[in-house]
Amino acid sequence: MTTSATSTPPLTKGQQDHYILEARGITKSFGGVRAVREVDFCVAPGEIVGLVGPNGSGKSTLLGCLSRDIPADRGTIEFNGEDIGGLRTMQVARRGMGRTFQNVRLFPELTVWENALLGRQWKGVGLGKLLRPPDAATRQRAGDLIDLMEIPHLTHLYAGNISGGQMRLVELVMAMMSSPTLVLLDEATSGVNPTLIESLKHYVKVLNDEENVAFIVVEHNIGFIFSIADRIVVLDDGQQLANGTPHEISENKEVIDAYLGA
Amino acid sequence: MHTLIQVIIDGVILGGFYALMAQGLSLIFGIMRVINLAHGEFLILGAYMAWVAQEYLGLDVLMTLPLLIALGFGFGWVVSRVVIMPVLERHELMPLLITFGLASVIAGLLTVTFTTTPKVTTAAYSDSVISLLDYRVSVSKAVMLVAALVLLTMLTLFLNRTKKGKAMKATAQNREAARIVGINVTRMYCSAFGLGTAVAFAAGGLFSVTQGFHPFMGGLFTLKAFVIVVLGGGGRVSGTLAAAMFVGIIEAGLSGYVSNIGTSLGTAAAFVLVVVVLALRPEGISRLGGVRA
Amino acid sequence: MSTVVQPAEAERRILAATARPRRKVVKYRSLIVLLLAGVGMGLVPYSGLNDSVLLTLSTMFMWIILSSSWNFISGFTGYVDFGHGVFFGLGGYVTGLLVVKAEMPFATTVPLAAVFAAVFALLIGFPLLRLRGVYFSIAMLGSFLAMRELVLMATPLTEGAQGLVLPPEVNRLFFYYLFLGGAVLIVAFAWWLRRSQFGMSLLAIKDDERGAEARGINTTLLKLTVFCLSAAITGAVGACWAYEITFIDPEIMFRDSFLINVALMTVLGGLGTVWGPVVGTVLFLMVRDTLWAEQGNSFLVVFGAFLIAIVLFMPEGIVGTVQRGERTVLGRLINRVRHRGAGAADADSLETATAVRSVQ
Repeated sequence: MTTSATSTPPLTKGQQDHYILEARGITKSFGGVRAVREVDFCVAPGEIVGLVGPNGSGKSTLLGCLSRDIPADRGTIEFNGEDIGGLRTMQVARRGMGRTFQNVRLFPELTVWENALLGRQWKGVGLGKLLRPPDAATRQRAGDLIDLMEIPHLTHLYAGNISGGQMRLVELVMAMMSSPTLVLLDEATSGVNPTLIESLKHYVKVLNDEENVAFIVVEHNIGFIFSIADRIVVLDDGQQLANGTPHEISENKEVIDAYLGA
Repeated sequence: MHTLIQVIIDGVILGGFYALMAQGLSLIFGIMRVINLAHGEFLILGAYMAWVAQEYLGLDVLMTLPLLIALGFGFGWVVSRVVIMPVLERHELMPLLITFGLASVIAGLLTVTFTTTPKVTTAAYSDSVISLLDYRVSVSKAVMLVAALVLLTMLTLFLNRTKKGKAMKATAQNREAARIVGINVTRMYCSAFGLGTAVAFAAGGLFSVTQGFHPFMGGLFTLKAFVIVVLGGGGRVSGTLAAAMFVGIIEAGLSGYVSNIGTSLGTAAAFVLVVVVLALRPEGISRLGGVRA
Repeated sequence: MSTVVQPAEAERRILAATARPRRKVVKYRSLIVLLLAGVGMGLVPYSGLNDSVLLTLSTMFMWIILSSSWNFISGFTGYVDFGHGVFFGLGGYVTGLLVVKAEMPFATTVPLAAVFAAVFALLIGFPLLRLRGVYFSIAMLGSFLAMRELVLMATPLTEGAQGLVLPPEVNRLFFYYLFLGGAVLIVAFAWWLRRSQFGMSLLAIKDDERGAEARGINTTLLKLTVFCLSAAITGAVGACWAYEITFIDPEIMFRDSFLINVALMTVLGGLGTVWGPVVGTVLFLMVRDTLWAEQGNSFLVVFGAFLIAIVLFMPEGIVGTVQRGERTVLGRLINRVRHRGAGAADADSLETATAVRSVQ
């Protein structure tokens, strides 16, 4: 087990010799508050990494830094071997990092179908292509994902009019649209009923198996995270407290004291 | 050299008035996150009220001032309760459209009632001029400057020292937390809007003695108030005051040095300033209002 | 991708297949209606109606173009442009000056006016569109007021308040068909835009700009493009209108009422919808011309109050309420009437049954 903040996390799946996401020394302060301190965070291809920690431990800030939603003060982030430190959020998204949001961010004036289509944005799409309706491949992809999530009956509803749980599924569809290599799930189970949580777990696993998509899962729902994660990183007070397999984490005394037992 | 000093004197006086005007806009935006596009029209409304009070009741502007503030507060309170609060939680363009409609209604009503002929409120000291060395300042303008500074000080003291003022700032910083500790958020917002309107009314009353005004001047005032708030950056009274002085001096300079078209140039300059400032420091605006962390 | 779909789900796929592709007629219903209306209106001049009716109609078409183009930046994208009249005025002055001072033919000046308006939009849009909507709105209002002053001041070029007199070559019919064609084209374009990736992205920006950015939408580029496009169209219309009325001065070309008119028409019809500006414009002009017949400045009061009332009670406008008004009382009522009898089968669709309908 590795509990030191600077150690390299073990490769758990597939034994590839590279990470798709390699963030080192991420630091971010808001005013005087240091939300994230010198955190290393790496993800191997096809790996499901759980990110847990008490409220205010810096999970959301770290996630924001990784997706370039929040500019980090210090640290380097490489995604698929490319330094994404200076890129805009939109550019990172186009390089194959999908994400969902803690507070669902769908576009209520568009239908579920249109929301799904918008998930696919390609690098360097010209105005000519923009002005055409989405191409057949995009529609096919959206249709398949909607089928997979078993929500075809929602297709033509406005996204502002569906239930919270359904919105989570649509967000997952959007995140998957551009065939990403990494998807960040931010509190995807909050406000979702238990049946739908089971389905969500199932879909994540299917996508992980079939397309070898890596996931970073930020959760309060410990049961959910322990049942799907290959590896769990525990954050506390902006620093990495522990890093290991679910089994290791559940036995870790520090973690139990700081978080799980509480 | 003589012109320069006279320009600075005029600019500072104009700046004092602008600071008061801008602080009203800044207060509303800082607390409610609403840009009141009718702010200039509110100001002109205050000017007309001062004029009416003088013409028909024979009240001097300085005596009308407390009345204007009370009326402005009540008017602003009701307006925000009736038309702003229902759309506050919706898309930000909704409050914009509402205040745009308000501006149109007020300008129209004023035109219908008072026609577009410019009016000036007279006062006992209207024709008096203070002369020092070679420099001249009309008494009405000096009164405007002093009254504006006094009102600004009172406003700052209210926001920083009184319980109600602190509650307002707390609401601006975190609506939910304010609600939890028992602050009536709706009432706070309405009060903030009322206070901002009261400031606009008072500024209008003071202004009405110094210069002719007509119903269609409002848009320009809104614009200038906005420029000043943006320029002032933090929205602290000191920042607003400095920005207002700056805009006032530029304007006085343009009309002092460029004949005939100076006032028009001032308008154009105000716009260029908006674009330049917004382009250079878009982040400065988020601290607008002086009540954000 | 099809590998993802599990084979045992044939049943669900059938359901999906019936749900997704819409019938062609429904899909192109809007275009068919538009074409029929266009042809119908094209025949009006042959029906022996007098000139004043033609003028009224051609003014209506012009406002449809203007409010539709305003709708692109303000309705679709959510950046409310309270200074859009600046492009109308600029377009008019470009044509006026080129025709009067450079004696260029009218047809050549219109594209130039459009380009000039677009370039101006690019210059001010670049710093302004990076900001949140409110700053954009107020800065545009500023640009409108400032430009009017500038045109008034630049006497050597624009003759200031004296105005410019253009050669009177008025042909009612020419402008009738010009504006009719423009209106049909712009509604068709709006319809096309709404279905394209571009249009959907614009609506996404309006709903949640940060969310759109996080999904890989190049928000800055799209906002700038649509702003320039909207400005160019308005500039071209301004150019045509200046030529039609044959006399321009700053007060005519930069009218205050332009701003409230265009906002009211679009909000009344429905921001961000294809048909909203059309419905809003027709209703607005009918109300104004029949009931209100230009009674001085009181129109500002009435229309200002009207705007407030619509925003308060029907924020989605007429078309928006009919299409997706589940969020307002009126809209729910409309939906209930529409879907009465259509039985909701299972519990899941029950909660959403009222909302089922095809897009556009």
